[in-house]
Amino acid sequence: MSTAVEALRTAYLDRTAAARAWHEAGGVVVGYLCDVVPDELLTAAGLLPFRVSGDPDLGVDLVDAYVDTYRTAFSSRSRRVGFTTSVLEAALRGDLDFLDFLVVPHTRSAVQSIYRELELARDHRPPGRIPTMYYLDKAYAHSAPTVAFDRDEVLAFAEQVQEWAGRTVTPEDLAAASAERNALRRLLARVTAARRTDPPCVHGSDAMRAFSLATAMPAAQAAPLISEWLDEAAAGNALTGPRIFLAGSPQDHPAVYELIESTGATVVADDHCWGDRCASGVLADTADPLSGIVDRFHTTPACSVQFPFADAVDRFAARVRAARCDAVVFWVLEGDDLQLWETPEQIAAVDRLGLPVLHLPGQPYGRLPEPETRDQVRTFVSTLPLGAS
Amino acid sequence: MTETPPVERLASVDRIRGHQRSWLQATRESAAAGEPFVICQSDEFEDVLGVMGIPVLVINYWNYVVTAAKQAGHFTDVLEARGYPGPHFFGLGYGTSLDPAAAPWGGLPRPTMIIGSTRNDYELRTTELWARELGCDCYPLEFNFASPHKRIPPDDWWMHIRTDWEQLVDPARLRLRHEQNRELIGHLEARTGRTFSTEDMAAAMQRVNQQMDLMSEAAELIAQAPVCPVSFRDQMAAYQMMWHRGTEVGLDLATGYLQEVRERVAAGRSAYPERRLRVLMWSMSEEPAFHRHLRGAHGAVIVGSPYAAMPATYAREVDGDPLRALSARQIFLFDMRSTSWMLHEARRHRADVVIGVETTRHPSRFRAACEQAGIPYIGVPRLSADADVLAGIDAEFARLEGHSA
Repeated sequence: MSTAVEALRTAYLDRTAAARAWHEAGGVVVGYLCDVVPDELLTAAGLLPFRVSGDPDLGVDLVDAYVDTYRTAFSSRSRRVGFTTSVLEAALRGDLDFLDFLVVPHTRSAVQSIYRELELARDHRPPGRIPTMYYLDKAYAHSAPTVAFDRDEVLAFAEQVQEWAGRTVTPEDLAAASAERNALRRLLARVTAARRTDPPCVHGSDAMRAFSLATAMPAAQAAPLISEWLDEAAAGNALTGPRIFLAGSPQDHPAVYELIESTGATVVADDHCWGDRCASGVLADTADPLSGIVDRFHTTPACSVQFPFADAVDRFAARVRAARCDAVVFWVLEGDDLQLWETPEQIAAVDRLGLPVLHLPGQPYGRLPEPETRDQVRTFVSTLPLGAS
Repeated sequence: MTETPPVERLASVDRIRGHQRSWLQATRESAAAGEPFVICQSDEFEDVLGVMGIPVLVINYWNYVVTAAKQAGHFTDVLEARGYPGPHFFGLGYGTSLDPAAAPWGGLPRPTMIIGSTRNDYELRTTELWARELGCDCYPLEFNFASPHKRIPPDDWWMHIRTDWEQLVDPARLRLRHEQNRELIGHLEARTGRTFSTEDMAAAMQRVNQQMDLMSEAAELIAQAPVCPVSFRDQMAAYQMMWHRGTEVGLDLATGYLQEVRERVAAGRSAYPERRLRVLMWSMSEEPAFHRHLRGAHGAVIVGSPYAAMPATYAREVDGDPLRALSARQIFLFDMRSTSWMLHEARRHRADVVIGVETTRHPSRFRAACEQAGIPYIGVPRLSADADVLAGIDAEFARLEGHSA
């Protein structure tokens, strides 16, 4: 195995290491969920942004004891998807104790519920220290009132960040932070491009690791790790085999990618917030990055809750076309009621493109897919013609 | 098992049921004739639509009609055949539009619009798909009931919600909801030619308060009476007055109901011939299937539920813009996480036992609160009357009787 990809994979095995070191050295680490939180504001204030991911191995013991004890029969109609449960479990265990603060955005319902659920749990003294939390609100629709609402939320968040940092963020600080995050996003765009080359030169699982590490450590550490891996991959052997687009629920760990890759296929693109979407959101290089941050915050869909639905489907179809893939795999997690209602329309869009589809609904949030599911994937990939795209 | 005698039914509740049926029929006919009509989620926008004279079908109500007609399974199958795995509740209405021939009342006519709910993120998708199927517009409103997630209410919120609602809600969310409500009103005025009047809204909010006071008085009489005068089934059916909240019809129905409750309490009439134990059912769901077993095997009758306390959560003292007060109610109506609210209701109903649905391995906060207050609590895994549930209930009652012996 090459040195650079080994370094990438090793770093991913403990993606909290850099943030813990930052914290132990006296720095402030601000955790956040999802991909709408303006990390430039945190970086500009000298804080380290850390995107929290789930961990399928944690179980649900503490969620049962400290969170679901408030659930009533009515609320049982609202299901929670696995990765949100694992974030709750991690917080209750104290696994997030290296975070000074945790930003919970209003994205999908199960994510924004985390704020209140952890605050209520805090009253009952769970084993772990729950970080001080901040609810970053966001509107779903686009209209004059929601533009103003989202702008005010970003500005209030910016004020809070400065309080956390104990200092004022100057326009120069923000410009520098925006340039740094832009550079990182442009590097991630190279990852996306490397996936799309024909043939691709990087595994989807490694791309997912790169995207994840970019949100887990200072840019100065992440950038060389990722660029060295990319340079090495570009000079290495191309990947043959069917080109797969991975759709469906967010994947915050690479197990599904690895399953697909074990069949000889390559996941060349995806449609979730831990994948190619991490490369989007580059701000215009202007003297007023705050305006760009506000605009991006408002226009970026919270999870994929975008109205009208037809626009979300069109964007999805455009991503599939751009990927020049041979097939699409829809991996939908159990409890992901949002994706449940989107999948048929997205499948119809893929059908119109003439691509084969494998739809795997109700998948458990876990590291090892069930044997039957693994067989379904292998069988599906084996039917795909090579080079059809 | 001991045969359970029939419960007494109230004439005023039959009138409420009858009105609901005739209202639905009349609304269907006027919509089919081209009059405006809107579908929206409960507690979303109905009060404004009522002021504008636009009939509204509430999504939750329609889903309950489907469930009561024992068609939830069929329409779940319809949705699954379209690629939407179940179980389903919110989507049942959409399901009826996919198979209207099988739907209650022959299905729904095409509405003027569906207001896209965002109480839960998938609801916006479902309402959009439904609107497309019906060939009408979908207009999204931002995340009603948003406030408690962001500005966590105190445990005693229910004591202050009527008068101090402004202090209990997130101001930014209130501002947004108020503005969105005004925008939607303008949109509806342009689409339907119906107009909104602030004076009419103020009058409607006043009538809501009056109606809720009548319903709350009835609930108090039921709770305090030596014997339960109104069956749980009738209490749940009477709650349908809520679909006409703030209207003259709603006031009339509530007045009739309260009058009959007063008469029954004065005459010492009991809805349940057998009564030994009073049960507070702390769940927002329908009457549990095991109620018959509770009555027959243990002489335990359900005397109340959160629905007894709900009317009080709708009343809002308005000082200024009534639309703003309504907007505040739309983002914070009630909070089921409050254990003090439950304990208040348990004491008010003189409950011998509180029953709640417990689906986790650990005792709920509700159980813990009851036990700390010295009120027996039984947790059931679900509302059905299957062997496991009944055995669990019997074991709990045996345990309670052993303690009280």
